[in-house]
Amino acid sequence: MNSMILFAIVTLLSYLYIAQISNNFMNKKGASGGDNVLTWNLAYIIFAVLFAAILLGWINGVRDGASLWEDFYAQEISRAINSGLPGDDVYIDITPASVIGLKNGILKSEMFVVDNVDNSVSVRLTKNSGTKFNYFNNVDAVNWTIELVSGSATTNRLHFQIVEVQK
Amino acid sequence: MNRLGSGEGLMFFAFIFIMGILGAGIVWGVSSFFGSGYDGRNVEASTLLDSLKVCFQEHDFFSPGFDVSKECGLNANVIDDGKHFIFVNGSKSFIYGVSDYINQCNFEGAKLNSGYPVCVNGTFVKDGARFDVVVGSNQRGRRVNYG
Repeated sequence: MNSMILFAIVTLLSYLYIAQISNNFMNKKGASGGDNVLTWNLAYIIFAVLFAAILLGWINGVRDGASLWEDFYAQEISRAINSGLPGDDVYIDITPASVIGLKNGILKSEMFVVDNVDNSVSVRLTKNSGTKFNYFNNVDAVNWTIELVSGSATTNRLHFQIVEVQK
Repeated sequence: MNRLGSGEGLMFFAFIFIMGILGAGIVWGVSSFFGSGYDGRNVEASTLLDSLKVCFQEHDFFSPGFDVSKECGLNANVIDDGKHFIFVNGSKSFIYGVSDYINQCNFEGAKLNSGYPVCVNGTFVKDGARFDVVVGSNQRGRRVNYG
């Protein structure tokens, strides 16, 4: 997504630059000495606005801690699976992550995904990206659900079971 | 013929340069304030060491054709991903994974550089013999794009 925005900016600026050079060669009006002030100012303004938008978007992403919590929970869930034995029930408090994920419009079923084929845990708290981490323990983690902690409506927890490899 | 123009375009690259400096400063400042990610490599290496400790008591690591992933219940694709390392050294030695990690973990200053793997050391005792163990990990969370 970011690379597409960058590509759009570079394309736009290249276009404006080429248009400016062409205008200089044409120099038909001569009023501004062949240098179209409006074009340059437009290029500066567009560039500055896009630059600020990208920067603010990034700061906003860092500020709510989405990438940090994704990284944290992907590794901690993998750690729980690595330490687990078949038959274990695992409960993990995921309140900080679920608050961010739900705020960003991510479905509960998409927030935490385990892939028992390639032994990975994916945590996704934003629309565009997530974090993946592999676990080395040769077990499967099944029946993943996000549920409310008993007695509290403001905290969520992730529950899953560890079983023998089924593949 | 006025071909010099008004000079608006002359500041184009200076403008980009200044924006770059500003952007880099803001990114650096924000990153410094919020910290740099979560590093669980030490924990992962310790967990792997614990798993191997149990397995080491039950299996002969030094027998020909010994498959550590199969015998110790480890996923071969993950352990062989080029980010893990196991080294057992005693009267005999056993090595698995990225063998250069034994050097990288012991470089002076490697602990200060997050690009190097993180290793944990342990000791196994079996049949009265002592074995030194080094387990290393350099696995980090990978960004996945959904857009």
